[in-house]
Amino acid sequence: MARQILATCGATVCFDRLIQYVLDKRFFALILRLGYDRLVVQYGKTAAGRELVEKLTSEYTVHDNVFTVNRLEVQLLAFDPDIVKKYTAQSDLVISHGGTGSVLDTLRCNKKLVVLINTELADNHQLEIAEAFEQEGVLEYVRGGFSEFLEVVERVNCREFEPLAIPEGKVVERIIWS
Amino acid sequence: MDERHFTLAASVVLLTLLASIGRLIYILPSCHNTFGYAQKSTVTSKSVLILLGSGGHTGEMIRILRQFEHFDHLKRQYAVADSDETSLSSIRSLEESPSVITIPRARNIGEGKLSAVFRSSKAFISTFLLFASMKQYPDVFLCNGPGTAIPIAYVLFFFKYLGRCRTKIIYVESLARVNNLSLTGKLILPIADRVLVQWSQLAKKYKRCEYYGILV
Repeated sequence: MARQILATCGATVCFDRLIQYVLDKRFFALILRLGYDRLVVQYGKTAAGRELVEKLTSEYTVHDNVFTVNRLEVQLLAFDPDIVKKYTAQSDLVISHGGTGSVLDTLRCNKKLVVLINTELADNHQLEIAEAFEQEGVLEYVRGGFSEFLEVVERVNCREFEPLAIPEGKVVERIIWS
Repeated sequence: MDERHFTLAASVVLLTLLASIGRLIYILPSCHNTFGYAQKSTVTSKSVLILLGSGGHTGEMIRILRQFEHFDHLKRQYAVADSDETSLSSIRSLEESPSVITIPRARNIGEGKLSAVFRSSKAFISTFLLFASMKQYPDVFLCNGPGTAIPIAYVLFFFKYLGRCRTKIIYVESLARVNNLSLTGKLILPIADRVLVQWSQLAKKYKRCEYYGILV
């Protein structure tokens, strides 16, 4: 069966560092060695994101947003409202920014998750939430640069995680009625 | 003014002041303890005004609403900031024809302080006018993180103070807040009837914050 990695920036802004990391040749080589044969890169709806992706993939023959490096098939995707069903659920590992939406989507699908914190955004809590979740044993986040990113991906590939506890949203309903 | 008149006037002012403070203490949730929840309620219908703030906040709110077992038993109305098309389309994933009221945005991200103050006052005034013309107030106002929660909550609280409505304010802090309440959380804490947080650290740190696990 095909083994897939999803790298995701979230719907709105492009996260340049994440895109640069996952479109790097050394990353391709690593995941090929780990036995993955498909990579989906979701870069967001902005024109700047599209430009960055085009620049980084200029040496490949991209056809219908798909190109192949050795045996690795790479699919480029701006955004899909059904990303969870179509991509997250079909992946074995997800590499994501630290936004709560993407993190929850992945953990609720019970997928392995590597978080890259987007430090470019002001007043965000990506580090806070990544730290808290890592302590719960449900994901790992990258503290350093590219080489540490590769290390974390390799480690996470053969590591098991705790499942995230079932959400308690029904409590809110009970409090409304009380 | 002779002495008798002065004493009389002073007494009236003082009594009014005392009465207003008394009313405030009576109405302020932070002066009472309201923990726990009922498993069942005898009330058959409740109207809820649900705030859909924006991006991540809307996402968390939808995640919570999806878990409700008797969603249809609630009379639902949504408060959406003007220009927020994304929230509108996410609520349509939950119900076909939602009842929506549009509210002006309190603050845009990255905006200067002075214009933020101006905008906030404008938001307060227009929220006040919007709610003053309301015929029926919701039984519950359910909201989370975004700044737009503040004018609505305070306007509702003001009407509660005047005895015009009895709306219960329930606030859910964002999952991204692990160690500190958000500014919205801190501002809403004294007037919210219930404040739910999603990390146990917060419940230990702030009085009146309730923790039941991750809600989203």
